[in-house]
Amino acid sequence: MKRIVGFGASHLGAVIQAAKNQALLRRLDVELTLLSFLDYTPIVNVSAGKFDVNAEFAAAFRASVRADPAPELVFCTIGGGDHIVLGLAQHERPFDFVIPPQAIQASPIVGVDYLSMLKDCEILPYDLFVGIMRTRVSAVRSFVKWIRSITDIPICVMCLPPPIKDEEFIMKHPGRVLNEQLEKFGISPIALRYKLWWLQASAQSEVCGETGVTFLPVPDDAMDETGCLRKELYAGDPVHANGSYGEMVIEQLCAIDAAATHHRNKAQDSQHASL
Amino acid sequence: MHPYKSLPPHCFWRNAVAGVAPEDVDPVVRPKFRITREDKVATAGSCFAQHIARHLHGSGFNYFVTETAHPVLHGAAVEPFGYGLFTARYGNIYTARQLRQLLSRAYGEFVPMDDVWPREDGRLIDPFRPQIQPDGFASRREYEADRSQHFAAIRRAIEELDVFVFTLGLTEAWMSKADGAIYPLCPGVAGGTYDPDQHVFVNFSADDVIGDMSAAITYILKRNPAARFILTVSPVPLVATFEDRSALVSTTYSKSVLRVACEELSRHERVAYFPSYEIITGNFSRGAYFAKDLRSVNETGVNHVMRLFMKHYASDAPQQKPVVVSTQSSFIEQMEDAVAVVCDEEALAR
Repeated sequence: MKRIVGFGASHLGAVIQAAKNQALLRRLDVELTLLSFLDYTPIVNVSAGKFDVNAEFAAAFRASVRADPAPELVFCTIGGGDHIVLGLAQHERPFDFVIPPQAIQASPIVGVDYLSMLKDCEILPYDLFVGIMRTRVSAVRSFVKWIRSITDIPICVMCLPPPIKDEEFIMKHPGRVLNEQLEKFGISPIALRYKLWWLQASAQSEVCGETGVTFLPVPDDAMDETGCLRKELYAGDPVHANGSYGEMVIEQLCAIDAAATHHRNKAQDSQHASL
Repeated sequence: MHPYKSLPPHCFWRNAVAGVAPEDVDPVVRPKFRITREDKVATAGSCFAQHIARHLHGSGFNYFVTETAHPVLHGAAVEPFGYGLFTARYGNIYTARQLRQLLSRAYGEFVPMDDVWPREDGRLIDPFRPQIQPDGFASRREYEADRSQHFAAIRRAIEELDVFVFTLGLTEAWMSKADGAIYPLCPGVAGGTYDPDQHVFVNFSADDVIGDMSAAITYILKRNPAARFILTVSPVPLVATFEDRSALVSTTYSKSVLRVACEELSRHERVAYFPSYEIITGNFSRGAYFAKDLRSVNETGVNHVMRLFMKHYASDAPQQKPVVVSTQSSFIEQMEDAVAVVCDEEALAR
């Protein structure tokens, strides 16, 4: 049996939903311990340069990773709303930015269909958006450091779900407060929303590379032909994916876990052979 | 009896300078016109002009910025990208020729042959504002789009401004041999590659500066007949001279030429000269307005300049920064609140 501990903000909801599917868990032979930030607020207290994680959450996390038998993988989904904050609602000063070809080539995030420039928009410096996203995903770095202070179990960071293309769906399911924003501002073109998501996902991936943890990309089957979230995976709002998406993520996690186990076994095998 | 007997006190050194406390020295005497708080005040020029712009921004004047940082960039480090330093993101404009050419470029009447300086890492540098983005432009498309909207911002500034404050900084410049395009910095310093076959040093004369500034003023007046101008000379010495002589001698030449040019130009009814150069470099301050490098102007000096600027040119502008209702961050804040609620609501679905 594989044991995985996961925690995170609202995007963990898809995995929590999926974990209700006992048949899936049995088939994958996995046991999940999931800790949602929504149950521990505020999750962090950042003041005077300190990163203080909620004490109750910290205790629950420590207990999870120190259980016997120990889990083989820790995964987390942190933040995720930044591309929505910046670009879901159309700004009164419509804007756009250009992702340079070299950044597209260097990033593991797919989606070249939406890299054209919008018309009648103010073009803003790409570097400024990169800076904004790097700042906004810095919590990932802080959490990885925090996990490392507690355990050396391999860590994996889940990519946020890709954007929802269907504007009709968004307007019908805007959520209580987004409704007001969307009625006021309208929805930004998917080209911009996709680019902002791409930038945030790339920034997450970059942090993972820098901190030596695994970046879990969006499951291939979760994207439509344009790189956006497939309709059947929409949750009830413009931001989140549903339990079926969560199931795909669990499958991915198990594959990673299997690979890690395989690697470890292989190392052990070679150790045995050399004895 | 002789004609000096009837002159006002400010005409005498003792009354104007030697017998006055340094902080009370006021060489302005009277303004050519007044600026109301509704007047749109645009700025451009050398690095000293940044001080003027900064103080205008905080003084209650209607500091006119046509190329502002987009509110969605709230919280980002936009200052190194040249937003708000001047009316538009042109960076420092050191010479009158550079200003004249910029106006022509903004209206598509002059397209320099030196279009862009590619770096080895693929980044692109604008030869005519090489430091406007810390790491250059990320792509050709971004560069072209940005330049196009920059020119639109300049056109809007020219056509809508009420007062244009321009600080003349230098007479020395580097020019393209191909078409006479003037660079703000020598190629190779902040981008590009210096090539003696393509680039040539020029040191403008008083006639050159008067000709270029007259052309620039005429160009603006043609598009905005009500525009008024305030010219100043930067008191900041040359960081280096390409003439084979002391930087001190070159500084004196350069500032003298610019000062003479301002004198000539201010004979125009719509052009005033503001003596910030004299306020900072006048011997009454005994060098107290310069920093340790004897080049940078310190805040005390800038405050003296701007105090007199306000005293003489502000007709009814408040002395304090007015309360500004900023919409800069409201969009982001509203969206952050909304997304936070949506994310909280996710808990309800569990």
